[in-house]
Parts: sequence; C-alpha cells; structure tokens
Amino acid sequence: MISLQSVSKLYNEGRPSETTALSGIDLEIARDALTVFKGPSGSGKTTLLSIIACMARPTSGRIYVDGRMTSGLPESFLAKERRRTFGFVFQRFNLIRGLTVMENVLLPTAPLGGNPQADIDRAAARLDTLGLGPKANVAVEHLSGGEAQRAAIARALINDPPVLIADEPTANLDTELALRFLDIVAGLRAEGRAVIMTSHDARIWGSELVDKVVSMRDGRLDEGTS
Amino acid sequence: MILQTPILALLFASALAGLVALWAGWFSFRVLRHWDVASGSRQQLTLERSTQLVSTLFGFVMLIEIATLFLFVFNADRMAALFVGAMCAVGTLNVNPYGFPALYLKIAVFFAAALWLILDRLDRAGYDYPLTRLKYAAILGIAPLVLASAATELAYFANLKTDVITSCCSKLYTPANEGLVADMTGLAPANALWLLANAGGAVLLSGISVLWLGRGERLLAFFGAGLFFAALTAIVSVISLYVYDHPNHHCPFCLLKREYGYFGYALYLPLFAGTVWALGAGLVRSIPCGDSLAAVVPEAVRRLTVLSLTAFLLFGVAVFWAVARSHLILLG
Repeated sequence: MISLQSVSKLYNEGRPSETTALSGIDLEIARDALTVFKGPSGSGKTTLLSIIACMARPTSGRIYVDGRMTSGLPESFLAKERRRTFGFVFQRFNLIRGLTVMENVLLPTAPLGGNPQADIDRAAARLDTLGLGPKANVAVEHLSGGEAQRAAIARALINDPPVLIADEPTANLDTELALRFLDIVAGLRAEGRAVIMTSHDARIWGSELVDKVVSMRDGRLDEGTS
Repeated sequence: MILQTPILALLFASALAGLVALWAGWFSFRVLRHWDVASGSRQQLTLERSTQLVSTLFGFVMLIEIATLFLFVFNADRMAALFVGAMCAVGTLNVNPYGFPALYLKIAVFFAAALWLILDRLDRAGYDYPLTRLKYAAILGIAPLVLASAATELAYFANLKTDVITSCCSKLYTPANEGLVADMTGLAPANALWLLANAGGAVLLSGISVLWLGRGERLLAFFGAGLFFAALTAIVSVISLYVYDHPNHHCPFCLLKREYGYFGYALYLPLFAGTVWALGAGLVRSIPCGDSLAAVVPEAVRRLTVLSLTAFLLFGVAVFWAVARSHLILLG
C-alpha cells in the first residue's frame, strides 16, 4: 500500500550544519497492518513519519501510496492527499486548548466543507466508540492523559483516513493506558486501516498485535528490515 | 526622456519582466535538460519544488505585461499634448522609429503571456506536472520577446523629444497612402461589415460546435484569430467613422480618448480577450494531455469557449451600439 524507494532527507542542505536525517530508505508497508518504527532518538523515525504523511518532502526518492506518487505532488495536491489519506496523532497530541473535545475533533472537517451535521454525528459516534462520549463538551485542558490521547485519535480519524500515523503515542502514558491504546489500534486495523507509529516503548513493539517492527539507526533501516 | 509617472511605471514593469524572463529562461534550460518526472533524484525533486516558484513569478510578470499593454496605449494617447502635431497616440508613437514597433511587440507579448497563463493554469490542475516541459519550452520563446519589447520600449521612451514635429492620425489612416493600413482604411464600409459579420458568424458556429458537439476547438481558434483581424479592419474602415460621426476620420486610437468616452476600450478589451480565449481553447485541445488532465481539459475548453463567445458578444454589442447611436449614414 505504501512504498518508499531510496528516500533520503537532508536538513540544512548545503550549509555547514547539513544533517542527514534519512538515507536510502526502501520500505513496503502493507494495508491492514500495524507497523512500528523503533530506534534511538535521532534515528529518523519522526522524519520518516512526516515524509510518509506528506508533512515534509524528501530530498530524494519516491513515495507511493496505493500506486499514487505522493513525494513529488504539487503543493495543492499534496494538501488534498494529506487530508484524504492520513490521520496524524502527535506525540503531545496537539489538542487546541480552550476548545471542547468535540470542537477539536471537528477541526479537520473544516477544510473539506462537508455537511456539518453529518460531521457532528460522525464525531459523536467516534467519541462514543473511544469511550469519550460523555466528555464531548468538556474543554480539552480538563482531560486526563489517556482521554487526551483518545481525543487525538478521534480527531485523526474524523475524515475516515485509510492510514493512521502516530508519533510516540504512548510516551507519556502508564502501562494500562499504553495497552488500552494498542487495543484501540487493533480495532482500527480490523476496520481496514494501516497504522504506522513510532515507539521507544518495548510494551508496544513487543506486543503480538504488532505486525511489523522496523528498526532504525542513524537515518537508515537496520539490516533485515524492509 | 520624459520622466513622468506612467513612463516610469512602464519602464519599471518592463525591467522587472525582462529580469524575471532572463531568470526563468535560464531555469527553463535546466528543466528541459534534466526534467525526468519518473526519477526521484535530488535534482528532480529540487526542480519540482523550484517550478512552483518560477512559474508563479513568471506568471505574475506575465499578468503585468498584459496590463501594461493598455497602460502603454493610454500613456501614448495622454502624451499627445506634449508633441506638436500629435492629436492622439498615433502622433506620439510616430515621434521616433521605436513607437509602433514597441506597440506591436507589446501586443505580441500580450498574446504570448495570456496563452502561457492558460497553459500554466492547466499544468497546475494536473498532479503529475503534465505540461511542465511544454510550459518551460514556451518560456524560452517568450523570454526573448519580453526582452525585445523591454528594449524597444526603453529606446522609444529614451528618444522622446518634445521639439519634434510629428504627424497626426489623419496622415496615416487615409486611403490616399499605400500599404496595408491604407488598404484597411480604404475598404468599403459595407465590405468591412460583411467581413466582420462573416467572421463573427464563423466564430459563433464553431463555438456552438465546441459546446454542443465537443469538437471544433481548432476552428474556433482559427476563426477567432480571423475575427480579430476582421475587427481591426472594420474598426479602421467603418466603426471609427460611426463613433466620430465623421466620414473621413479612420483613426483606431482616437477612440481611446476622453472626448469619445474612452469607447475604444469597450471595443478593444473584449476583442483582445475574446481572441485570447479562442486561441486558448484551440491550444488546450491541441496539446497532448495525460491521465491527470483527462477530466480537466474538456471543462477548460468549455470554459474558454464560453468566455470567448461572451467577450466577442460584448464586442458585437459595442459595435452595434456605435452604429445605432451614430448620426452618420454610410449604408443605404
């Protein structure tokens, strides 16, 4: 479903501070699978997620999503691809304080200009599924860590993307919440979505729910991973 | 040189357009040599990112070039008060040998710029840079035109001398002269209107064919160009006479003057726009388009055709109004 071919990424290209974040990444990521990138800090996991999710461009290489090349898309098409294909859960969840859970979840629907009532119904259903129905009208700053994470997942899924991307989603959660997160992700995989995430957390990449673990070091895939 | 605001604005716009054209021309060489959309090389990805910037800036100066054609003509007419013998833009353009070449080059740049903008808009509608090579090859053709126009315009303004006695439009637009302009001026009013009506009819039929049958875009472009020349001939031969209520005043530039209510703009703006859109419809249909434009091209052609027909209709209304309100009786 997602194919990366010789993907490299340099930061500060051509300057003395030039840094190679990714180098020659070749990777295939299947649909209906939970794929986890693991590796030490600075190994390029977040950069790779950002590039897969069309939030950053590679310096060289190509990326295909369902056969469509996304790495070279003009900006206007890239934004559409990003909205249509990917939901993103950030490490710190990036919920907007001052807005309620429902308002946060509805934010990604605004650029698509759909039917507002249908969006609200869909958001309410998703919040119910994630056990956040009673908190729909609560401001996000009053949520616990686990609730904030589920609100972020609901927001990432509101436009029904086929790919959910999560960057260190369990970094700030205790074991119980981390395992609860894995259960949620397993449910999403059962819905037919690809889930790609990064994690330092052995509880995550050691779980039997994970289909593929990709090890990274210094911007490269470890031997045997592709 | 006469340092007045419109002249400085025109020179600044030309200098900017010339610089951007040079830069875009240099970039076009790189695109034509190295563009390979199948490659994921660093060079290709850098070119892909840069095309957005270059296209946007070049498109911006092309828009300026389109606008400055009308500023140039307006300024030429405005300057008539400065030169002995000049009554309108014809006199000021005749002050030195660069005036009319500068105008003709600006008209050429106008059409080239407008067609390039149509090409650019279509290219941006495709997700895989479908017309990028063609667009940049076109820049290599347009850039020299822009530079020649800028140089001629500079030569024209630099050589304006107010002590020169120039000739007014009645000396140029008279059947007594020889050449194309004299032939246009001397064409019988009935023949000129017949020519205009036939060209307009051909455009209308080809436009209807495009809209209803989905074919005939190249014919529309051909007849649109034909209508442009037929209209210019008719303006010189007969329409100007009706506007001036005078049987011997053929000048196509005095129409732009205030005492005639700037009526020339009501003729020239839709005429130029209609011609560009008709040519654009033919151009869009003629270029090979991949899958990414398969759904876009028919809609673009339809829109250009509607725009073209609407603009030509407005031109027709202006002509009809000029004839209907005139006290001059030329026919019958």
